[in-house]
Amino acid sequence: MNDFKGNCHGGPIDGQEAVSRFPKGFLLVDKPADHCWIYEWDAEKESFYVRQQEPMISLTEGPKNRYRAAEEGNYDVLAAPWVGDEDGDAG
Amino acid sequence: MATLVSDPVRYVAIEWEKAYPSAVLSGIVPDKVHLENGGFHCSIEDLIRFGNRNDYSNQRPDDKGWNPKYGAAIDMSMSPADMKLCAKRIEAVFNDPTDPRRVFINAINGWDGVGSADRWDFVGRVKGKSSSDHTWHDHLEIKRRYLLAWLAAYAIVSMFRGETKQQYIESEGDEMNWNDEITGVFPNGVMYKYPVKDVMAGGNYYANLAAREAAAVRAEIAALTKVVQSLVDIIKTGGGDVNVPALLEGMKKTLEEHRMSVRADTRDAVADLGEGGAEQVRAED
Repeated sequence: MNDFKGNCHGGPIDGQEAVSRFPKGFLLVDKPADHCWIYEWDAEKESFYVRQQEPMISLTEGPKNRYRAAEEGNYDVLAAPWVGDEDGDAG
Repeated sequence: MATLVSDPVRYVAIEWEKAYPSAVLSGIVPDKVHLENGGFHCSIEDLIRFGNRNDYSNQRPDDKGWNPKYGAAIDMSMSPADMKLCAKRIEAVFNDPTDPRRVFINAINGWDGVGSADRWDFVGRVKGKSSSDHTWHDHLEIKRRYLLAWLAAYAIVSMFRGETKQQYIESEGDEMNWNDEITGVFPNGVMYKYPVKDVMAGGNYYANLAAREAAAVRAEIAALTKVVQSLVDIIKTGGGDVNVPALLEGMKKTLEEHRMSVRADTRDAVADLGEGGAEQVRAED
């Protein structure tokens, strides 16, 4: 399958490279903080642009919940890379 | 008809998310691209509908034709730290051929934190490589045969939670009713029900039973050792002498005879379960 790979502009992962499996971009979710950001894919510039700098509430119910993004083929869902045990030694 | 997701598989997705602080579900039912290309996210009905009847996910004996309305895969995105932690828990089960939880899993794509992404093939017992997108999300493939089985869901969740094999056996073993039934649908559409004991009568159940028997033997050894030590103390206190090496040699011989007897009983018990292949099990050793 073709991935969509490019640098991110704006938001918490500004300047970092990201990959989405889906053509419209991805949802970046910070689950412990209940925050999310939508990064839109720009095919011309081969880059992602954050829709809104400030985080949105990450919904798990209702018409705009993140599970819907997981089921549809428009936006990928990525986990915030800063979350979790950095050493990876637990458990 | 579109791919369905069974309740046990949905349960796995929910509990897997809970087991890691960063984990977010990123795929379960097939999207348009998956439908066109095949794979475990698709039900067998959808594989056929989109011309993928002979897809790799519909080949192995525990996949081919089973539960044709249901998808059999979950994608879970995680942070690098959680990807590594998850890989560690997966490998603990993958690397132990006696772990009974293995039997329900076809394969998992993920990342152990080193180099490129990995694929743990539980059936082929091979760790290989997978595509680069699996450095930030895990892809779980459940054997299609067990998509309606709560037993399978509990086992897979146990692995993702990082429970040890012993913790899993102790949590399921005493409460597990071996006559409980696993339901599903044959390729011809007929519903089936198998007792759990038949489903588990493969190598992994053998390992489950053997592990419990081994635990019982270890407990007996510990108790016997204490008794012998007490006797030695009594004899020495009374001024007598004890040939400890000879005593230990005698104990060792008795225990070895006991172990052989336990193993023979275990083989017979598993052979009686049918699906493990009675003749093969009885022929061991």
